[in-house]
Amino acid sequence: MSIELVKYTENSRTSVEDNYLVEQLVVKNEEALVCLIDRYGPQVCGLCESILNDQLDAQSVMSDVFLELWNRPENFDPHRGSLKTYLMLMARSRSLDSLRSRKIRRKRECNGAFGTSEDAPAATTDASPIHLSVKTESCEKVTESLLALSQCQQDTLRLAFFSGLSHRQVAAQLEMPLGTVKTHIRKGLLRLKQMLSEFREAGEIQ
Amino acid sequence: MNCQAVQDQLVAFVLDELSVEERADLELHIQEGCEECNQQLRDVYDGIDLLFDAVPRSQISRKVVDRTLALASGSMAKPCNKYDEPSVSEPRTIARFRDYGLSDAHFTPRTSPGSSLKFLLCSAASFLVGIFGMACLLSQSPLSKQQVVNHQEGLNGSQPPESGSIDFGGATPLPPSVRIANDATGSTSFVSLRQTNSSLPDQLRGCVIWDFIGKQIHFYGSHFPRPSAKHEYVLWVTNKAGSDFRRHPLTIGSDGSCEQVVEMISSDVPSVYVSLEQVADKSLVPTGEIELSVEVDP
Repeated sequence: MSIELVKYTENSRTSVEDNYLVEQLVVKNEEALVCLIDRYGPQVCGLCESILNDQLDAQSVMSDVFLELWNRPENFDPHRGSLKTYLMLMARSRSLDSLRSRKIRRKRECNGAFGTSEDAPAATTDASPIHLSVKTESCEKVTESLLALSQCQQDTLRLAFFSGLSHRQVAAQLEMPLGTVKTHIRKGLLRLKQMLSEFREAGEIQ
Repeated sequence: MNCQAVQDQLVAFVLDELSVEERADLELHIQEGCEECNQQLRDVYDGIDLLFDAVPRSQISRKVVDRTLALASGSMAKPCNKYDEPSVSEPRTIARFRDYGLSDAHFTPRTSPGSSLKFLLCSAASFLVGIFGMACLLSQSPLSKQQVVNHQEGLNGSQPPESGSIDFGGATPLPPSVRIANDATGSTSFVSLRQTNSSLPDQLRGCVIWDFIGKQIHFYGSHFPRPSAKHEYVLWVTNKAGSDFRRHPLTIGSDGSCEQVVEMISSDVPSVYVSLEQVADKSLVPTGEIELSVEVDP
């Protein structure tokens, strides 16, 4: 079994479909795993780093994410979002696991309550990808679109997705009702999709 | 569940933040084919997909990719082509050492030259004991929380059980840590996990090997009860300070056996705490069917 890596690396967006790579994982083709790590690893690691604020931990979680995909490729349902979304959501979840494990460990050691500010997911604006420089055309458009959202939508999306806070934590952080937070996040996502669709139709991004 | 309630919960559903009941209700509504809610769900996924494009890419070191690949292949026993020309500066692992053999001229252990032979012998003996133990015990019953698991201390498990065995598990809610002191010249610590039963001889259930040259933990176990779909076994590795806490899901074979290598990314981990737990998915709550705890202090 062999995958034409050259074709893949020359045109990473279109030459090898994700579904094909996932099918190759089912038959344990290691080259497919390498392809997927090359393709999505930097983004997965970027999200982990954003949540964990630690490069080593982020790389460890990234490794776990791809190992989980390797061990259970059948868990990916292509009808529910793209492979990238699947991996990124898993990375978010595993990063939060890692943060929680620090709390559990600390609780065992201190025999006290956990939840110190040090353990809380990174919720500062400085670490948010929205405010970091981005390099690809698509990223720039997404960032531009994000900044065009209302401030509440920006804040809720940033905290929920890039800082890894739960809806309840976002509500507490922003001192908003939980239902309002959910609405801001959902409407922000839908508005984002709408704006990006407009960019695509205008030919500004692929 | 009406459409408005479903749509309010869609993002929480995608982020897996709903309770089991809420999730079941929402899935039922989606599966019933409500077109509006299904469209909203697709839109939410699309929006998240776009949102994640704003995440800046991080540099990934080649070593991390190699380690992931090595773990994916089940063990370090099958080196990739990248390892065909091993670097002198690269720390060698037990598995790579086993593959290249004694004649490997590139092998450069970090410890004194005199310890390399001992390292080899210890490593080989440890693997043989672990594999032999699992192979011999496939017909035994699965572990359960009512059973007691001892550890046996010593290089290669060769010391008598009385010399370092401490009971843990059983009625103890949280098993005490088991500390294994490495001798001054040894390069590998070995601890065997033995199940005791009042009416039967002790039974070997697995072993943990700490290879501090390769900075690896080799974990072997057998007779794990098969986890349910919502459960999995996880090997936690941390240092004593709790500042380097890592999660390693375990792959359990159809015969209940497990063979896994955990490679430490940090090269300066002073000690390792290994806790094996059966956890409910996402909740990190040990369900308590098996709790083994081994602390290695090289």
